[in-house]
Amino acid sequence: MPNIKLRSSDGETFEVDVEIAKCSVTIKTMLEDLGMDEEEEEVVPLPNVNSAILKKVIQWSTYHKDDPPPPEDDENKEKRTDDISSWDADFLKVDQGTLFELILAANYLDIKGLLDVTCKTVANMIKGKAPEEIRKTFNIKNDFTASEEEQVRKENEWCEEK
Amino acid sequence: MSSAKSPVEIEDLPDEVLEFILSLIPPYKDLHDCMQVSKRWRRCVLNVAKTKLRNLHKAIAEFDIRWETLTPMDMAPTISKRYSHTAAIHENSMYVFGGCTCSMTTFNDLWRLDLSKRQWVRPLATGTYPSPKACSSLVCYKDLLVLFGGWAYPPSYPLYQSWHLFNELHVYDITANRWTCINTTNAPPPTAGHSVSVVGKWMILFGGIHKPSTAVHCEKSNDIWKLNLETWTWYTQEVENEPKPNGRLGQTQVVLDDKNLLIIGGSGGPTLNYCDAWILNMEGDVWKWKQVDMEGKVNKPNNIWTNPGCKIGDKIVVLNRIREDQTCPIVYYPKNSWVNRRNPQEDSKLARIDLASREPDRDENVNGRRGVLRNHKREAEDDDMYQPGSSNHQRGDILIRHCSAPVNSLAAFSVSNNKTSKSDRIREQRLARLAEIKENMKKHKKEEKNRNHYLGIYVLDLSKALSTKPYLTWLPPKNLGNGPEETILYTLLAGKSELVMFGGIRKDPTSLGFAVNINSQISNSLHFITAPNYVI
Repeated sequence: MPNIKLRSSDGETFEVDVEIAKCSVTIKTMLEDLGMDEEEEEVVPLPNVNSAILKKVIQWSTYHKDDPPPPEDDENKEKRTDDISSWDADFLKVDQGTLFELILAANYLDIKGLLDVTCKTVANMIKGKAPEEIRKTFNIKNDFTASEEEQVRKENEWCEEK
Repeated sequence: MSSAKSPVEIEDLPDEVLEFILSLIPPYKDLHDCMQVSKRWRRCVLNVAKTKLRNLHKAIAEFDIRWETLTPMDMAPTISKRYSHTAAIHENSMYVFGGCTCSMTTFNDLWRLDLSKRQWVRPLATGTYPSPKACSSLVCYKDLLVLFGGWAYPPSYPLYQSWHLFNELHVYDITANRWTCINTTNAPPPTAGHSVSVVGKWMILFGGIHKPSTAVHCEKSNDIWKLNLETWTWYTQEVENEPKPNGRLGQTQVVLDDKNLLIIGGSGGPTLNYCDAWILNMEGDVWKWKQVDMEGKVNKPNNIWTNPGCKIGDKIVVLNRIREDQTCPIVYYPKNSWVNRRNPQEDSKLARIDLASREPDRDENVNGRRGVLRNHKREAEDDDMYQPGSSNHQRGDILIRHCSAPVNSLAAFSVSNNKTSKSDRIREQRLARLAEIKENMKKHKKEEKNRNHYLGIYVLDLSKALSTKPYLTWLPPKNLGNGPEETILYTLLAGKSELVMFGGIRKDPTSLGFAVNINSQISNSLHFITAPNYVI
């Protein structure tokens, strides 16, 4: 199996199977555009991903390497947030900081499956919470004045069919 | 980007990622709560809402919709099966009232579907309940649901009573969870199957079947009534005499703007289904009807009275049976390939095969009854029918196209049991031919499923409804995703960036009332029509 070397932002180098690395559309394009040869022993720098996160991403990609590729415009069903596999759920039992870093990494590396499952996890954390609970959960500053907040609360036509 | 010192937070995610996350939140109370979190979140929620709505409009215009079905087994306390009920959407909930079954039952229960949790709740309201009825109207005004009219089966004793029409007016106060019966003077006569819309503080009522106190029989109405929703007073509305739509019931009525209503379709009698469109101009003391031209009539649905339409953006969506020629566009059998070559002697047999095998799927006794009949016929016809040869090849095709599986397995049975055949060779050839047919059957099994009819969307473009030369256009269907099995007398309402279809009866409208055991055909399923997924 041809391997490829990935270097994280903090300088650590990981050697992974090329097929696994190609879960990332970003890396795949990079390899194709630069015409990087497998024998060339070149190192792909990933300045936006630190070693801890890159390790998780590789772990995820290794587990999911045989998944069928996601269809271009997704399946015929509505996107659900309750279909996270138990392996993914276990994998994502991490602190919030790690979860958001994974989202950023998945976004940067363009790994659709990982982005889907991490975002679903966050969506599940948001669902069913009152605004104040959401702020508390995610440490968000309320920048509304009291009257503005009241106004938004009454804002009913935010998603209306006109 | 992420420094090792402070942990990454949700606020560090770029807007497009936050919006993607928010797009996964049900667009009802949950998403509304998100909007109140912070200014940034409000902005992102509004973007998501806008995009979702735009996606739905686009999906409908391009016939590229997704169907999602919720079968009642998933949800613990659940609404019973019904049709001809009425429904309205208020904020995060869809309310369903009444309706009927085929067995002399009408309902007066009120159910609430939580649209974000997709759960049925039955609010146990206080106050004066409405009578059990179907074909009534329910609209939402502020935090009130306004219920008017309807129809009920007659009591079973004394015999020979005609069915009952209502002109009761009830209001359900959502916040107080209370029904109130409102006594009005100058109320419309008992009415059912009418259409209503809320325009400002008015509820405008048109048509339906009604029974004026002076009349002996029920009549189809083309009257306009208006109800002041603040004072609960009814008024008859004067309308210019000519032109006027004919009296009708079951039409689709939508609000174009605060001065104009549009009605399409409806039924004027057992064999009179309207497909016309009329605009009611509500300016001045005397209102005015105007018939509107329809373009693209080849693309119109067959009936717009048992299948209510729903306005979304500047379109009306009507669900109707997907046309035959559009269900399986991939496999095409040129008809004349066998019609031309068969001889007259065979002709009569073909007709018989067709008759015997065409209708069986609705009949639960298909195996027993029809099977025996076919068996005899098969024995009699066996010899000349299954001679190997090119002319029989077409016959095989006919079988495949018209027979359902049980009939064919019987056919196979009778042939292999036939001891009167002249030679083993012929018999072997027959068996080989049968095996071939069987193989073909397997191949075409999927195709045969298409013999059930499914609902698809038909789209009427209203964008030119109020221009100086108004006209409406039925858009040419492009992409036909299969909906649920053909159903009529359901409700179809616009939720937030989705359409919600509930209940109804799975039945061909042309044969309503002629079948036994149709209670099993009544539905309490929910179907949601949405746009393709949000893409980041």
